[in-house]
Amino acid sequence: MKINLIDLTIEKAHNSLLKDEYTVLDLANAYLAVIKEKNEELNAYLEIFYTDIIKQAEVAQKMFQAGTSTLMTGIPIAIKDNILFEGHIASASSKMLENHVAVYDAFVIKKLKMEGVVILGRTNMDEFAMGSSTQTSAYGATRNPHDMTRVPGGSSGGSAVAVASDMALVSLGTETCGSVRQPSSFCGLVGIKPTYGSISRSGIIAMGSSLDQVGPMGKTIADVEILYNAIYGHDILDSTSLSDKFRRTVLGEFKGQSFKKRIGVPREFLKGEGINEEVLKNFDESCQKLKNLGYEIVDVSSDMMKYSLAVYYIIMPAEVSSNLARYDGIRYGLSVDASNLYDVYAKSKGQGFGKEVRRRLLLGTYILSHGYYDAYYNKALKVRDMIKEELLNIFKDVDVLITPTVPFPAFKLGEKMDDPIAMYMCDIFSAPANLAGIPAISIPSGKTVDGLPLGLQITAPYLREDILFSIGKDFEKRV
Amino acid sequence: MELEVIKKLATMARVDMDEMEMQEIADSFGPILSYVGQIQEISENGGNRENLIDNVPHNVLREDIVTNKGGEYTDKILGQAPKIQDGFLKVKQIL
Repeated sequence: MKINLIDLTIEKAHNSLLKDEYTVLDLANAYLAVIKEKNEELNAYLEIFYTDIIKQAEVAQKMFQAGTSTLMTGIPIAIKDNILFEGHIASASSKMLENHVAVYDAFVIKKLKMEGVVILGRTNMDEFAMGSSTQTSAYGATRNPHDMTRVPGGSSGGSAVAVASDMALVSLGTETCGSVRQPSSFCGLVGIKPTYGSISRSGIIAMGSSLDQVGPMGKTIADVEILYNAIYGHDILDSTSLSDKFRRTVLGEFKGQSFKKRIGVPREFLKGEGINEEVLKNFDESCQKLKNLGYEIVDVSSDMMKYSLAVYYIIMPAEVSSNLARYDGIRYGLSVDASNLYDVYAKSKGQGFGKEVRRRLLLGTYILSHGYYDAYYNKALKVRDMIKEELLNIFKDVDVLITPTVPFPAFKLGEKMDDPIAMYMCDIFSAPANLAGIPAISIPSGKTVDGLPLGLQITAPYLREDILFSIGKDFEKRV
Repeated sequence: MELEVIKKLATMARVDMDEMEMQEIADSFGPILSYVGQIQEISENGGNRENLIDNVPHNVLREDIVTNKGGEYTDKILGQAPKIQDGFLKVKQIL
């Protein structure tokens, strides 16, 4: 039978698989057919795991036969190229790790294997997740399926495009600052950056460790929620991972309480950032929709949020320069032969890393160097705490905050590549959630006159993904 | 920013790059540092770390014991290394 992939959701697929309307392999093959047709042009996947797909499908099919299937069993999923899947290349879209084969499974992969998902392949990204357009990949840019002349956003651009163009049902991206939400917004998807510590980063190629988090992407809130539920949980291999007991304690405080349905808009923060007019109009429409749904929308004042991106662009390069020191041409990854040890390091890094990665390595080295450390890094840590504190106070009054996800719709390929600050502005509304460790989601909120998708960002207090899903589902019905 | 500073940074970061790129980076650092430098204007009040860290795990430690069998992962991990000899990573002579 022909499977309608356009409107397919996890629940629909699950019911069809339960009723044996089609097999797990039929479903995977339906996606492979689209991949064959579209991937060459879109460049969403860097590799399809052909030989494994059949094995994974068999495992899943057996789970259905044995009656042990879950909602995720047999669901075809795409994973970002910085997530380790044992025995497969994980390159972070860098020449540095072109031939790097994962020697163990990431925590999220272990979890998904237990559910019997079918991992279709690894997706293109900005090199080492440094970028907002998937153009810094060493393997070519990914295109936006809504307009082939435009970027899909990034850094999880491949994971976004895979789902947006029916080459996977759901996908995993990662975020350091907006890398799941921004491509979700540009491609018309739902994407969540969960609470810091909610999902283990064991087996995720690190960028900024105080900020990194895995994020599910999908076409509907329900799909993203199901995927999120399948991968969160405590992991001893990530020391920032929240214990199950802690999670229960925090959530226990809210149990049975209905939230106030009171939503805050940080109006001054929005005004300062040169938002595109269509984006602002769409945002006002979203506010109106939420009012019609019975939510109260209030302006909240914020002195600190406007500094988030500046703080991010200090903390992130500092952490990048530390994290990427490990790629030295000695233990794994690219190794360039030279006459002495220093040159092996320097040449391996010089040839293995792309331009934006090299820029951030030097920026981080500068920020952490003697004489500048206090002025930049230490100051940024303090301001980060002030931002966090301000957000905690705001959440005493409102349930969530809303902003547009990005100040503008998807831009043209090639645009902003020569102007780092313009590119960094993509993350202006994303930064507060990553700095504060709180969850935020991007949900489709309509399109521009030219048909480019726009997103609404909702940010919630610590561990309150449930509120994001709840408001998101209300909002989704109305779009 | 001076090109000489970028050269020093490249040496510290151990990244080999040509002068043209270093000049490009030098030129881009001005706008980036002036953008991030805006945080200097903030007077520090609040942001008391003690109030904030009670809701997240910090300084998570584990017992200092061996949790795997000797050599359990050696082959797998060394399999990714560019140069090995007798179960060791091989590097250039440093003395």
